[in-house]
Amino acid sequence: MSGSVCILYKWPECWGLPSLSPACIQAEAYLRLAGAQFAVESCPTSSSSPTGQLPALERDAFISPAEPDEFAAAGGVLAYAKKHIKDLDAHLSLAQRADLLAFTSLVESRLNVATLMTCWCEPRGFAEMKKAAYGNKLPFPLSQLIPWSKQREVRRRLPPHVEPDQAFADAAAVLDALADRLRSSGAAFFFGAAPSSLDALLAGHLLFYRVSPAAAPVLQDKVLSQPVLCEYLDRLLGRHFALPATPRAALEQAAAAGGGGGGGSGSGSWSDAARGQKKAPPPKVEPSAAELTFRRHSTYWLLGAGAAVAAYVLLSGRYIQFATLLENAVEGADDDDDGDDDDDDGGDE
Amino acid sequence: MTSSETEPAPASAASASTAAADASGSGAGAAASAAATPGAGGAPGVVDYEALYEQIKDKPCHVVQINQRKDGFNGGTFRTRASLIERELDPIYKAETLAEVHEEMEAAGKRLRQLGVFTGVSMLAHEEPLDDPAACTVELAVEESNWFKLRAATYVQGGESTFELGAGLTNASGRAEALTANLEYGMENSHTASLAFKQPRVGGLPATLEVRGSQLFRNNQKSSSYTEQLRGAVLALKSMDGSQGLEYELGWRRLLDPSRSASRAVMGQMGDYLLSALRYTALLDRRQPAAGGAAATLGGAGWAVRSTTEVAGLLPPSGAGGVGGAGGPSSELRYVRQQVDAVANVPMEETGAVVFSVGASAGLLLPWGPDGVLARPTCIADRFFLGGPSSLRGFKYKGVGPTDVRRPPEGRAATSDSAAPRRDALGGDAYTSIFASLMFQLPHPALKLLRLHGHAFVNGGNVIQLAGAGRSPAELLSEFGSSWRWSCGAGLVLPTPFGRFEANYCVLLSSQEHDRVKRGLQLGFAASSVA
Repeated sequence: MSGSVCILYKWPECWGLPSLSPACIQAEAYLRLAGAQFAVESCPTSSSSPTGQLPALERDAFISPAEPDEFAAAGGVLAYAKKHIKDLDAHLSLAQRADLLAFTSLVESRLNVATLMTCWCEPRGFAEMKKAAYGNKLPFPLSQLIPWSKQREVRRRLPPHVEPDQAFADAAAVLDALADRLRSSGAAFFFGAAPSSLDALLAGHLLFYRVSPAAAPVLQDKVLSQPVLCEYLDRLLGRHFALPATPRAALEQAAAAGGGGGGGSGSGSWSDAARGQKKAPPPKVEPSAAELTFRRHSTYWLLGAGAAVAAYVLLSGRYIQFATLLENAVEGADDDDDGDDDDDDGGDE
Repeated sequence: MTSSETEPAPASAASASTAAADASGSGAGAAASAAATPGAGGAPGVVDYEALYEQIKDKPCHVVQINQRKDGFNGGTFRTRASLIERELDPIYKAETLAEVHEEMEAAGKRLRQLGVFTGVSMLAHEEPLDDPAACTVELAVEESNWFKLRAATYVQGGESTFELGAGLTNASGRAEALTANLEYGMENSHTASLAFKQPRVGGLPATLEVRGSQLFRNNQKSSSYTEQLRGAVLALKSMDGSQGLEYELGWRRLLDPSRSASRAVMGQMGDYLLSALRYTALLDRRQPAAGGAAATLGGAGWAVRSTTEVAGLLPPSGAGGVGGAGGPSSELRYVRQQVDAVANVPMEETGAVVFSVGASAGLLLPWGPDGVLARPTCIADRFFLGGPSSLRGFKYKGVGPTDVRRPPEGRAATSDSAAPRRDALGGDAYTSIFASLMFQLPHPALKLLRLHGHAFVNGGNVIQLAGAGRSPAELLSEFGSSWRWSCGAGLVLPTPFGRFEANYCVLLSSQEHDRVKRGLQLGFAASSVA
């Protein structure tokens, strides 16, 4: 695990949860389970995040890829964290990895759909999400327009021909299966005493179902009715979510205080020349292929326009009369001939 | 007697002498008739119409009838409603002397032309009915323009080539209204679509009402690494001659960065904003385009000033507190923005072939809000940018002003400097630019016909960031004065409908670190900042 700090962009905290969006809870859960050092930045809308989608992860030069869907964005954050921070699945045996793959795809295909449906398609769920996410933060026309446009986007992405009751029934079945698996294994986390990435994914959905008023009652009742799930969540919260996350502003203040009084930015500093360094020649910026094409095309266009103007000036006869010039030249030759004839006549006589 | 379109025609002025002779009978005295005899002011047989007019212009004279001849476009039906024309002609009936009749006729002709639906308006007053010397009749002839217009144009704006297509329905229902739809598409994927409805003389007031809805997508990736999407509507009230206008704009602005390579300063600007702004524009134009000469390409000899004042964030009143945590941008744009542009053209000799032109522009953008005036940075889409052939020659488009380093692409070591890191242009809150040039016509007649001119210029300007900089006003002022940029040069100018096309050779006199300069030959369109 390297030392630089990540910044996680997420929806603000709400309802006692680390974030009001299940995908952001998933991303934060993975970072906490991995023990990474990170700071959080709450964004009022998803457009305020550097990638246009929440959750997003920034670490030095890296930014998580832009995805159209919030769960895909969380997947991107988890993939990066697995590769560059800590791989929580490293300790799993081969059989457990197979189970991990199976459960992960189950969560993604069933629980993701049910969560999106309850947040964005159910009237009561959508109203609660709208109030929590946008209600008192955006001025009036935007507080209706933006959720409405987001709802249209999410609805377009949901798999077609999925009935709500079927989706919720599938999700309830998955919750039952998870509860049974947890009960039979009896361990602290899904795959034993150490957490895995599946625990992060589950934390997002289960915490949301248990507490949020936007969760469909059928899902909330299912979670509450399974005491093993509630204990699992309590354990997770107690062990890993006890300390609040550092906000980014606090991190920057600490960095500034630590960095101290290095060269005042506003009052001027010594230039390189004053310090005895020779000025390096300005680096040549190579024009990209598109710029070269643009330049070539604009040169051709200008040459063509110039040629058209020159042709008009020369050939239209308004400024330079070629016919007159030719006539003058011909007449000049005739005069010479006449002059010679006269001389000859004169000579004859 | 008098035609309000051109200088008085001699034929109609001949009847003036007859009317004057009659008018003298109605109580003006013998002096008028003596003055009305030919030869009073010049060679025998030639009547001095101007002196005649000066003498009789205060005589009582009223208009008894206005005969209207209305022609539709190309012989088609005449669409404009009669009440519209009658309303403009009403004041003519109230005139009581000859001079007043003349003034009212000119004013009515101007008002009819300002409706924008007629291609030709001409009025002629003559002495019918002959039995009443103090009465006259006015003949009005109007011809309508076509009800359908289609327009296509290409131009270069802001470093991007744009293609524009517009269609309009003018005066379809006879009330002089205009409905236009516009579509613009740029090479960098910027596009704008707008629909506008315009009603001149709304409610009988001397004002034009305009309602416009538009969706705009501007791609600023190359210069500042962000894209802007603005969807909104504008409600505008403008004076009939277009010199003053009051607008209210309500829109949803979304700033995004699809390239994910924006600098930190630009990254903090991304998000959704509500733009609710009231804008007042006033133009004072004292230039005479009819004077001709080199000054004609600059709009005429004289001077002009334009001022734009914009206040944003007044409506709707928000009860919401600050958002996004400390230091983050609020979702409602709140600022006061003032911009003044002035230009003066002075011909240097009688023929007007050489003209000395001085132009100055200045702008200030100040955010306001509950945290204090300069606490938060302004939105990058509202700031002023300087650079390019229009504002500061010798520098690339948006090449002057505060910048910030972009995020280096992934996979590249931080210390590698094979290419200098690209920077984002951030723009500034206060700017000034000054332009002085000596423009002259080129001697060859072919070039004169093309209206190609040459010019030598000096251009200077500066733009700094005020809000969110964390520095005191005294420091900012000293920085503004000390980091001024100057350039000079000479080149060729060709006036086009979109502005002056300039080909300049520029020499930089003073520039700052991180400015993107364009040495040598620079081509581009310089749109006039005034009108």
